[in-house]
Amino acid sequence: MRKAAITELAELARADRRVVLLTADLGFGVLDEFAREFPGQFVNVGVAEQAMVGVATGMAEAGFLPYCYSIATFSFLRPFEFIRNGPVAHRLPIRIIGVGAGTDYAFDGLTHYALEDLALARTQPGLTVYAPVTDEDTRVLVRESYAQSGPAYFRLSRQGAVAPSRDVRSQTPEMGEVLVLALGTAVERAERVAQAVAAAGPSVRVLSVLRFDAATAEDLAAHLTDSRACVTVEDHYRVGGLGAAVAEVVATRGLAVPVVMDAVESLPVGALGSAQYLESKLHRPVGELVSDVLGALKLEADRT
Amino acid sequence: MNDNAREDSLASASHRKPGVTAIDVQALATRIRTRILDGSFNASKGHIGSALSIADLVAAVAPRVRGLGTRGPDRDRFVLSKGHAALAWYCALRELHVIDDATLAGYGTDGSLLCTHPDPQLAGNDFMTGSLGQGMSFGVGSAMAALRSQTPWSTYVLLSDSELDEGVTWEAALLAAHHGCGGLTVLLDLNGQQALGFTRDVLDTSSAPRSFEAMGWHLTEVDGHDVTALDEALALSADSRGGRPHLIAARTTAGKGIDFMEGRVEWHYLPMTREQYTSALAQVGGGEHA
Repeated sequence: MRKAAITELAELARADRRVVLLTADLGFGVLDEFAREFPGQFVNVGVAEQAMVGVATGMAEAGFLPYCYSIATFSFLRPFEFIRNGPVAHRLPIRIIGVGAGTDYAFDGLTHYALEDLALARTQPGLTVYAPVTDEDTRVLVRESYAQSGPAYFRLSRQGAVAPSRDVRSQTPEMGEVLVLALGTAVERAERVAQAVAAAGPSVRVLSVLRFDAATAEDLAAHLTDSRACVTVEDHYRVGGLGAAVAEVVATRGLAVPVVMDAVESLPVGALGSAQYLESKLHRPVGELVSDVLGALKLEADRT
Repeated sequence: MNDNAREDSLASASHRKPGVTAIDVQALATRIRTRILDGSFNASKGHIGSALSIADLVAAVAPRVRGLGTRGPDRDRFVLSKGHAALAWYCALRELHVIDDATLAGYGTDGSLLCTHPDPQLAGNDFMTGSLGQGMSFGVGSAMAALRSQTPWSTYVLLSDSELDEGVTWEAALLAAHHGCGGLTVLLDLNGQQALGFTRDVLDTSSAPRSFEAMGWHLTEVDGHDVTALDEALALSADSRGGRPHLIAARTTAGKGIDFMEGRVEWHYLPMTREQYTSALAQVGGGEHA
């Protein structure tokens, strides 16, 4: 995903000298070609993430289009106040690229886990969050961000999912029993949850939320309206993430759709491991989610 | 003032020759001090000590900001990194006819763009500041952008010595030196005070100017209330500095010009009583307006 992002960015940089790539000294093997081809449009600011966003603010005010790259906890969480007072407050076209969505940097531990980035990003007026699922999504969204006037945050995993995504914004709503909504590459777990639910009988559809912006609530409402239950699957803390965004839509629009949330439930410290290990440690078993979904459908049926 | 007159005023202000109009800068500083007292008293707001500390600095630098009050891409930029002293900058903007009397009179009132800290929607404000330490990196970014521009501009940052406590100030300082930001001038307001005490007691940053120099900055140390010295320092060209960014370490006194405020930490926050206002005005040589 990160390579796809930088490949697309290189195409933009080739055509537009205002595009600049800043890194806080990360991106080994990912940024090298860009740095070689566009030395005047590339700055390694050193391990100085706050300054990276501050400098990007000064550059964007002067008409440049900065993309700030690092691991998500460093490029987004650490300089969050700079993002708030810089790109957001000034409404500047600065894009923060954060690699390592959720627990993607599995063995690297909590310092490298972006588990509350979406929650924070969603609070900021005018800040678009892009959460691509595949490399192709990443390319499309990088190009999309270039055409926008405001700030954005890219929540990337290191590797994209293999199967093409089904985007809530482009997919036509369909009548169905269970809608499974996924964040980023958590779609792979979402597919497993969907299969388990489908095995129990209900019809299931899996969609991904690729963008969090002013139109996202409408996207979600359009699909939720035609569903009897919803499961949200994300590699993010429960508070403020995709599940919370869906719950806000359900509650504020009076939709009779129970929501089952699958998210990181505990503080991931101590014994850690591979993605598979972390999934079993930090998420509820798929079987429990299925039971919750079936229970919600039964309650819904009893009510009607 | 009509638009043409304002443009003339800005144009002449932006093409000053160093030294020639030092007396004018002194007079400008006095008018800014008077306006600071008026604004603080009328709005019953604090940060008077900080604003008075930089009155001479803004009087020296504001007329040098080419295109001040415009949004032209190649204009000079000014960053009031110590955003809490915004009143001093607003008063300079009024003196240079960037804003009018009515706008300045709105300071601290509902619906005004002139709040305690600067908002970039106000003409003459390029950046939002108020969170200490952020303005320096904004200024360095502007200077790095200027290096990439066909028609480069100068960037001025006014930095508080308390901002030397912030790590990001040092990140930005290293970047400016490393990238040879010759168009960047930082005016460091060394008044030796911060919110809860004297800097020497809270966190001793007295080695900071030499540290900047060691990083590769050109260092000029001046009396921050000597407008002639300030003017000469600001006139130092990037070429004469070997393309290095310029730190003007200006020794100042918080509350400068008012005997009961000078060097008193409490004037970081306190508003004035009418008696204090009257006394303060008399000390700076201005008449009472409130």
